[in-house]
Amino acid sequence: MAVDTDTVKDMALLARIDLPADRLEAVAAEMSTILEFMGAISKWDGDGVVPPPPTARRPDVPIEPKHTALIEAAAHHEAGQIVVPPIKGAS
Amino acid sequence: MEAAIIAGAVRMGKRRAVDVVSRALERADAVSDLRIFTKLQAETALEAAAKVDALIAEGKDPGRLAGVPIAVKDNIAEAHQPLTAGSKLLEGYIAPKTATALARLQSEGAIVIGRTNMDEFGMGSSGENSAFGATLNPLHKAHVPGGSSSGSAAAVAASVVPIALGSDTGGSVRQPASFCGVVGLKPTYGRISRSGLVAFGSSLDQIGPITRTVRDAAIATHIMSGIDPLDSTTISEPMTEFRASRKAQLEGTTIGLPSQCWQEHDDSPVRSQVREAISQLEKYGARVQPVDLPSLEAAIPAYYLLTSAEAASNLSRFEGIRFGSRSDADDLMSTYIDTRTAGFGPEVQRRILLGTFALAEGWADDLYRRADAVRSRMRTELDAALQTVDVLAMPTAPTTAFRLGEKTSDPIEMYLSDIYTTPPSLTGHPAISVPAGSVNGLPVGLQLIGRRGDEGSVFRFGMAMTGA
Repeated sequence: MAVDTDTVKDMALLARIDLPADRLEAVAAEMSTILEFMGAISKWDGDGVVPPPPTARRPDVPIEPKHTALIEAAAHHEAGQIVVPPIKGAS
Repeated sequence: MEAAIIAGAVRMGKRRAVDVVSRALERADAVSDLRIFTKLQAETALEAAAKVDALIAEGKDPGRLAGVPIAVKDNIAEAHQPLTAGSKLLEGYIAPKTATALARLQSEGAIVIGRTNMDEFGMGSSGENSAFGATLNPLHKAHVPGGSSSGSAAAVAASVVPIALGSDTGGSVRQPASFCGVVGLKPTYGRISRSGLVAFGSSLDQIGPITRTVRDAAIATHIMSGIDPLDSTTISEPMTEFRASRKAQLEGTTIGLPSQCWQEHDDSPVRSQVREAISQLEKYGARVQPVDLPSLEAAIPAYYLLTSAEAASNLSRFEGIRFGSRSDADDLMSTYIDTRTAGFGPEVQRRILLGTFALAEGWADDLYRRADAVRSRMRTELDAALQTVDVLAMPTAPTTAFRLGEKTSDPIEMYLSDIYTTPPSLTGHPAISVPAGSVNGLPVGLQLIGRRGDEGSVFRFGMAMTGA
């Protein structure tokens, strides 16, 4: 499965990672090699596959959140809120 | 020294916890060139040890691990301590809570002396992907200790601590245990709470102990196991019983040898050594029989597709706002991108891109669905095989510890290090690596896989192999 540089650019944008233009070719080549290796899985289909047992889940009952302890453990907190540095351009 | 023996001596007042912890800290200093720890916690460790000694003086019992020094992989949270997961991105982050598994060990008197180095976010098989430098193998410094729980395995192998916690997504406890000549257990999925563990591949991640003896692994697992309301995937079924016995008795038991792992043409030294070790179990009365697990050949592609997809999703939370470091940028999107680009190392970026690709509609989601089908098929095959045998046996890794830098330029070569450890990770079965001799002076590990919920059998066979 070959991956081109445009696809790599799309994936990098979705992943919020900046890939400089001079690395795109190399990353595309590496991804292609890895996906070709992973492609061995194509010969396996879902015929005869038994679905996995459902994941065990706890009862869907509301529990008292432990927010207070977590907020107090944060490095900076104020009036029951965790304080984070402001971001430029964010409203 | 074994944890059980240390705790016994402390509880009986024959040794002071403060002395035990001081010696562990001295030993950690003595081997600091191995880059085992990202942080030593001398002050809090000595304070905790003094509390244990005070309880003893008052005639109270501090617990089954009284005064036992332990090391904790740096992706398992301890309240008010730094947590980096081996990443620059989390530099400066202080954990607000303690992982359930660790809290349970501490409630039995265990004392954390430090946080151990690791491959960034658990992604690696050599310890070389840490932002804080590669850990060296204590048995041979030119070789890797394995990964991703590199520092934890090295801490036990270098006799700093008798128990270290690791996390295992595709072999990250067992493979470094094999490379360092110690014991490593990945329990049944759900046996130990993941609350407080930095998520990598949530449907596979498990915390597991790395120890010098099988007995210590059993004790630590027993303490950490059980339902946790903070992790809805924890299981209530108790572990099968395991009684430590000095005399190995395996009469009436059967060991399955998957034909896919024991091919005729493979005469590698590691395989030969492990087969010889299994012969020892036969002398104790176990019978061996071949089993067929065809889907094992697809384990590596299935594992890397599924975990990369889960990692791409899990690691999206690291955007510079809530955790760790932040790159200074002019707007929100640039903050996300600059932080992640500067903070994630090359292997983590590679897996995030691969996972994003695997999940992209119209591109490779077919591969993802096939990987999931392989996983289900593998689970069915392992369950069926384990109806006819007590455990499955194979090498933990195809090679001994390789040289530093030997595989860093070839990701696929590195991924193949996990060829034997990924199947039970995908299926949720318990698996242990125990020392099984050496090749050219480097340790070899035997992997034993048991029925889901049956840690007792893997401990029993593991103890027969090691005698402790």
